[in-house]
Amino acid sequence: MNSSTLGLISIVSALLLSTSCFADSLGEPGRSVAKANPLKNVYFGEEHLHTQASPDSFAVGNRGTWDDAYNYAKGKEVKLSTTGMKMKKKTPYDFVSITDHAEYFGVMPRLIDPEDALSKSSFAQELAHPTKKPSDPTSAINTILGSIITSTAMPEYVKPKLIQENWAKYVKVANKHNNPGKFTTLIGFEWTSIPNGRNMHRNVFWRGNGPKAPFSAFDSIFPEDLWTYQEVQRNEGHENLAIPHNGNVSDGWMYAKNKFLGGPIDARYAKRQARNEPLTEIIQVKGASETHPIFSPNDEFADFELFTNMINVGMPSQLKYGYIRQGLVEGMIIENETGYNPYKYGIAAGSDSHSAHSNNEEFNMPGGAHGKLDDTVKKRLDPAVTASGDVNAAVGSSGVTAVWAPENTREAIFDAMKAKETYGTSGTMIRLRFFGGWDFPKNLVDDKNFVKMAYANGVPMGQDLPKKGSAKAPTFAVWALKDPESGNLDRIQIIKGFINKWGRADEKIYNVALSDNRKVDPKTGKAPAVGNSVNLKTATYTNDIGDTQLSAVWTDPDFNAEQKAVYYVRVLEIPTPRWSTYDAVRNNLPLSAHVPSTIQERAWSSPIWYAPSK
Amino acid sequence: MNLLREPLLQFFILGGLIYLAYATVAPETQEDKSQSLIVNAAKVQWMQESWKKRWNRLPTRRELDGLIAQYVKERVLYNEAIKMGLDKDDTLIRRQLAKKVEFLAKDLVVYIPPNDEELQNYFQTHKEDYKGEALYSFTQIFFDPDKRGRDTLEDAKKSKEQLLQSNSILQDTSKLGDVFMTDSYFEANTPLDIRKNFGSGFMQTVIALEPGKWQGPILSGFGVHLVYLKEIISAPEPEFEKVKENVLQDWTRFKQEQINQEFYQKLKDNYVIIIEDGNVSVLDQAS
Repeated sequence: MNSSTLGLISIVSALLLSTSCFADSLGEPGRSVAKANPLKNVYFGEEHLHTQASPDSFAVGNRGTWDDAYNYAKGKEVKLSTTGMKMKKKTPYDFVSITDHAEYFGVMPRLIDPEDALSKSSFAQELAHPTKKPSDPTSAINTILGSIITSTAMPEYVKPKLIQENWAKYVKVANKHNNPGKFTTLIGFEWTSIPNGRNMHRNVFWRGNGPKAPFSAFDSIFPEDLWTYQEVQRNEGHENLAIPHNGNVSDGWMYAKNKFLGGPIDARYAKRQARNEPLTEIIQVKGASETHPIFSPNDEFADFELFTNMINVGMPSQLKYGYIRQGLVEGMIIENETGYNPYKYGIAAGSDSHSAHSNNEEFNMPGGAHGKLDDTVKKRLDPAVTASGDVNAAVGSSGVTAVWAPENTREAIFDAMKAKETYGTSGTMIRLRFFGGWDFPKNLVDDKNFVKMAYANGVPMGQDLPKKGSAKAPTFAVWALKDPESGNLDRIQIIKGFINKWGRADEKIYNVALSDNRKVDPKTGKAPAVGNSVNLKTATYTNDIGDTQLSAVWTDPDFNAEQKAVYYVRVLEIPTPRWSTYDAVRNNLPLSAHVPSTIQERAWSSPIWYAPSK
Repeated sequence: MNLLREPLLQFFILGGLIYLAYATVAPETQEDKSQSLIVNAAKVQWMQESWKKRWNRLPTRRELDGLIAQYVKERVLYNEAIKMGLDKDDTLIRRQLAKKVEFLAKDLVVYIPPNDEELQNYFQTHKEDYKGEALYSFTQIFFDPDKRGRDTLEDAKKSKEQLLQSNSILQDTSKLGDVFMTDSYFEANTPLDIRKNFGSGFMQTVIALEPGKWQGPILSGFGVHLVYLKEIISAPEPEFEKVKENVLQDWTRFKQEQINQEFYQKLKDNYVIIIEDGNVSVLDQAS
């Protein structure tokens, strides 16, 4: 090695040193850096997933295990349990929470395991080797499912010792896969209250190893009892939080004005709900719960992955009080009356797959989401209507929770969820920063120290705006970077929810950043569509429309300092083929006539709230 | 190979033992000749116990009578069904029995625990699976196709020339490319980290680069990049003792599959299989 190359090396390493400091100030340095990043990294993951340990997943033939689900999330090749098909995730997750139903937690696989004492009973024998048809209401599988729907437990399968044993096994497997700094497994379960088909489900998550046993709908179907359980566990040192999901199929109960047992929501109820449920799920395979075109007639993107029938009931779910955008404002109305906002929700998203693998990747949706019901292309594209009153293809390929945390550990990810520094996506891995404040400079997002300055002078997604200063209106800084494996970005929108002068929930949508140098029409506030590069014959698209990254610093032009308001970001991708289109084209089948052929994937941030100072 | 370790032989020995045990201890519950059907005390006790397990209490007399009546009915109809040959060529029954045989075969692997040598061999041939990941530190400069359009690639090439020629000036790389929102320097990234940040195509290219000079242009889902790979820290060789538990798990899964395959193959070899599918028309499948 001669002296001039040595000189070059020292120059380059000096250069690297300087860029490294520069990078740090931008946030998100390389993720494997051992020390925590105070400006936070984004981590993508799953908050809703079932394995054979869930009775309904078992009932639809899934035999995928906890190990299978974790391995798939980590990017390892696994086999779909029903067909043996090999599958592999394109972009592995940073964290995953398996959330099996608390009802008969882990019992079903034991009943058919010949080496397990539980398999010896005649009921277990009938389950393992059925003599009755699965459609027979008295078959073993229907006895189990019926007992869940009617909340009348089969006593031998809810014995505390049994459930504790199964729960301990789950925690052990979760801990085996937990690898601080690289891959987090969050301990969780699903509480499955579904009175008369109204979905009141909540997923419960733990900061540590969690309690001795999960709380099930056999214990109680009332949310207030779940909160009591959460509070008791918290007092015992088991920090936890719950995420309600599928407002879209709650028959209008999820974000309602009334308490679950009747009567208007009061201060105590609102306070407890807010404390125990910091986040809500905006999308999963059974539909989006952001908004409905009925409530958002001016939102041309509101008709997105809707799933409006109650699960297995097939009747339409009541729309009002079933969607988050209006729920956020209803919460502020209740706050005006009681002093507490029960629906001060941050945003999460998940798959709710019952086939033991997340399926957020639209272009790589290998095994359906419901065991043997949709594990082949033919079944998925079958035009026949299912028990839920829609075709199989109406089920989506969603969704992802993204969290901003200093490091990838169980505690850091839990704390970020609790702080609502999260956002949800329809499956894509868009990176999204969102800050609110009163005196952000116009060029803030172009500054090298953007993130540092934004944290110092404002708040990130999920928080209240700081106290109003002399500025007339709040300013928001937002940037988004596309998923390198998905389509380009179409636009960034800021959606404002507020209480209008008649005391009703109202909304306004602002296009704050547009790709391809498009401009907003000042009269309508709308922007021309980004276009469509999808070839439906080949299920391909090109990224010659849309942008790689978008950003904006935006001041609310309609701000009223006397009026409560809530702001959240929606980022849209350009149109890309929907999973059902990939399925059809790859298998030489006609496109499904029942669902859209293309999809504009998107991300929704947790909101930032404003309240006038008293 | 030890003859006793042959799965098929084990299977027949096991099957023989099960039959022998059954033949000696199983009480006669029926005699076909006289058409009598005896429900003995043991059977009744079994019914009573499974009821108790199910409902947490003893059955009443009426309930027990019901259970017995149900059992008798099932037996009578079952016997008649067998006599009439209804079990022959029934899809459900065929599947059930086939499954039972598969189950027996699956359990065989449990009886053949591996010795260390076998595990060592497996570990040696699958060493790559247990290796940690190498770590890559690199700087990248981004060229934004949204800003530069058709010139993006050419601009990147020009900047690379500039970087390669400049050997005296310390440059701020951000002046060369465009603003990229996440980062320019990535330290000690695994291939997985790179894949998560830039997509799989970019990762494949970068991990194959020779360290120590500016290279590119390299394409990603974002646009065009120049990359300076600073260093590669290769993963240490895996140690058997440290990963033994994982090896055992993988070996067991591998062995189970192998035994199932061999077992089925040997049984199948006893048959001459003739498939006459004549002119059945099939659909062409794309993949």
